[in-house]
Formats: sequence, C-alpha cells, structure tokens
Amino acid sequence: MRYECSGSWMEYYLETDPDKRKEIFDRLSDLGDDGANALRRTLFDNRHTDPKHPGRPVDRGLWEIMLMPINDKALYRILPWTAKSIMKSMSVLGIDESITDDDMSVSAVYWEIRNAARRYYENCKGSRYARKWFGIASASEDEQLERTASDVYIMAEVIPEKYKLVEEMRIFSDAVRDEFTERSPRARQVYDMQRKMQH
Amino acid sequence: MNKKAFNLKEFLINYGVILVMIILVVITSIKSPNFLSGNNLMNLLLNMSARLVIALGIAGCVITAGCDLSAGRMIGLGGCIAGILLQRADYSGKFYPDMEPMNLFLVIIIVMCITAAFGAVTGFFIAFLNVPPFISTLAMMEIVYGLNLIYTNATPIGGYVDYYTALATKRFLFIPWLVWIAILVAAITWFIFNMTRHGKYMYAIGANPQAAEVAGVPVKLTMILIYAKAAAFYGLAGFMLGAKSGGASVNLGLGYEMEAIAACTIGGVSVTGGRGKVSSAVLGVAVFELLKAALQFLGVNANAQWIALGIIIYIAISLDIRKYVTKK
Repeated sequence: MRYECSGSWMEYYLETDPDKRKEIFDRLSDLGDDGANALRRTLFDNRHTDPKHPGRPVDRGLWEIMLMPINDKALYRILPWTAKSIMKSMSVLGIDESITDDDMSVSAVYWEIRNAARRYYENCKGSRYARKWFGIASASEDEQLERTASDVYIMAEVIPEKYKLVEEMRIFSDAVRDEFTERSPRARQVYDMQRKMQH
Repeated sequence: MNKKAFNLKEFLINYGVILVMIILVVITSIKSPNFLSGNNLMNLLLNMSARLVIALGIAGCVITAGCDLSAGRMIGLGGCIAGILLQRADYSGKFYPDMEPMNLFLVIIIVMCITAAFGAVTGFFIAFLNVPPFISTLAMMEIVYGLNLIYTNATPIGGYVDYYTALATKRFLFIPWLVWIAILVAAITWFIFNMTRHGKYMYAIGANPQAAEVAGVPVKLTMILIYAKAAAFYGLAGFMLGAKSGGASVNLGLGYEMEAIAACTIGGVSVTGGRGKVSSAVLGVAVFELLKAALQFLGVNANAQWIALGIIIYIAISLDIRKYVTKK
C-alpha cells in the first residue's frame, strides 16, 4: 500500500493541535527512525512557519487547502498562471521535485496533507461556517457537510482535471478526498452525491 | 471527467434575470429606437458610474457573508462634505462664507478618509464585538445620518465650482470623467481582489472564518479594512453623485445600498459568502440600470418603477439562495 502508515505514527497524524503534534513527534522519534523522520519534521516546520513573519502561529497547509476552491470559484483565472500557482501550493504542502518516489516519503507527504485537511474539516462546522443570507442565518449540519463536500470535490477532481495536473496533484487529491470520505458514512454518501450531481 | 450536460433549469436559475433583461432591452429598443442611441447609452454609463463604485464597496462586504446598510447614508455624508468644500466663492448660500473652494483631489481624499473612518468603526464592532454586519451597519446608518443632519442642518448644498461639475459634463476620449473614475476604481478593486493577500483573506473569511483564523489570517484586521475600504468607496460615490447632480443633501444616496446589494447578487456575488468577482458587480449594476432605463422608455409610471425594482431584488436574492439549494 503506497500510503501505508505505521501504527505508532497514526497518533501523530490524527492529532491536529500543532503543539501536541510536536510532543508526539519528539516522543515517537525517540523510539526510532523509520527513515522518514527528517521529512516529517521538515513538512511540519514548513507548514507552521511563516517565512515573512517567523514566530506567528500559522498553518500554511490548511491555508493552501482553503485557498484551492476559492481560486477556482472566485478569483480571476488564467489557465497557465493558475496552474503555476496551484503547483506553488503543492510545493508548500510538500509535493515538489524534492519528494522521492519511495513509499515512505510519499506516505509522509500524504498523511501530512490529510492532517491539514483534517484540521480544515474540523473547522467546517459550528455557527460561523456557511452562514446564509448575508450572515444572518446559520446553516444546518447537513448544509455544512454538503458545502464542504462540494469544496472537496472541486479540490480532488475538478481542479486537477481543469488544469491538467491530475498526476502532479494525485497525492493531494487522494489525501483531501480520503480524509473527508473516511470521516463518516454520511460524509462519503454526501461526497458521492456531489460527484453524481456534478458529472 | 465527463462534460456536464446542459441543464435548462440550472441555466435559468443562474442567468434568468439577465435573460429577462436582454428580452426587455430588445423589446424596449424595438418600441423606442432612441433607447439605444449614443446619448442614452452615455447617460446610462453616467448613471452606472457612481452605482458601480458603491456596488464594488458592498461586494467586498457580501463576499465575507456580510452586508452594508450604511452605504446610502455614507453617500449622503460624502456628497455633502464634498459639496461644502467645493462651493463657489461668490455663491450667496455658501456654507463657509470665507472659505475658498479646495483642490478636487484633496476633497476626494478628505471625503474618502472621513467615510473610511466610519467604516472602520463599523468593522471594529463586527470584528471585535461580534455584532452581526446587518445590525452594525444599520446602527452606523442612523449615526451617520444624524451627524450629517446636525452638520448640514439639513440644508441642501449647491453652487459648485465649475471644475467639480465638469467631471460629469466634460469628456476624455468621448467618455465622461465620472465614468473614467468608475473604471479606475473597478481596476483597483480587481487588483485588490485578485492580486493581493488582502483579497485572498477576504474570500477565505467569507468561505470559512474559523478556518481562516486557524490558518493565521488576521481576520479582525481584515474585516475592519474591508468595511473601511467599502465606506471610502461610498464617500467617493457621494462625491461623484454630487458632481453629476450639481447639488447634495442629506438624502443623497438614500436606498442606494439596496440597489447595490441587489446588483451584486444579480451579478453573481453570493449572499452565502466566499464567492463573487468584480465582473459580478459590473454586470449586476448594468442589469439594474438597463432595467430602470427600459421601464422609463416603456412609459411605466415612475412610482411603479420602485415596485419593479423591489421585485427584482426579491427575485435576485431568492435565485441566489436557490443556487445554493441546488448545489446540495
């Protein structure tokens, strides 16, 4: 399995709080190195360090995931230009030339993106998400799930096809989709509905 | 990925209002050939110019799943301040009898800064005290109106210097200066929306404010900036309307906020936030102005036109919600 994650490291990828993840990383890396620890550390640091304002708490992985459907739906699009900016986002998420083809590094990148997506989806609920009518009314849980599913579909399937980046974005697409559809049977159902409707 | 099959229902939901507009324009131009005359089109452009500036300001608020009801009163304030600062020295009813008319650019800056300050206060209440935009801007609407009444003593302002009113009458490359101002504002807004970090923050807040916060977006500061920028645009629109009408009063711009919100919605800025472009505002304003002009040319009672505009607002907002519902 290309995206297989060893049992002990699953704890690290299920936690979304950066401080707790750091503690888990230190603990697990003390127990031994499966060859991907350095990459895991780089991915974590890259995600939580703002190059312009070091020290400011950021989650660049979550930001890039958030920005993806916005880029497609809202902003002005020029195909080559947007494709370039998408690849820049992929690079922030760890998908670039430096990633080797061995399963260990591919898996580390995949699970880090899943973690960022997990953190994003955790924030796709509550009274402030998907408000309706100029922010006057809040959305129901079902409406929120449907909105998130629509965004996931755009990220995982529409954008890679539209900008001809299917191969380049494969790990990203798999990660954001798997994280969403594995959240609950209802999430999978809503995602499949979304897919059927958009086709 | 399969190509999506054409869906008439979806097409009508997305473009129904625009389709109706096209039909209306065709019928009107057949019934009254003057409708498409150069003069009338130029007049349409002039009417659109200030309204586009207002719509561009409001679009930013709507993209963050908010709205701005204070726009109309801010326009009144901007128009009155600009008028007062640009009255002729020899005008008998001068507000400040001893003051010389000021430089046009300086007046624009003063007006925009004053209204932006009020917008920043609105943004502060929304961002820091979690007052819903609907309430916060409603409160600011009343405050600004009251202040303007006290400041001007509800006196109409007139007697403008020629170089102010010339913005509406004089042309550059066959197009009135006011239209050029609107084009410039649209270009700047396009740049802000698409090319700046602030623009991306704005869309992100509209899409998911919680996640934006977690990602490190300065949500509160961005909200203040959005409402301040919008208010600066309303001030500019007040200045433009003053130049066009040659006078101003506290009621200048009354109800324009509703037109602007409706125009944005017709054009495609979603009331659920996170979606909308500059072209959406341009399209919406064009549709709205064409509708008004067409109704006039068709001889519809001027008072009944308000009913037609109300119905359009109703349809536009319902269709936007419908778009959201069909995405389920």
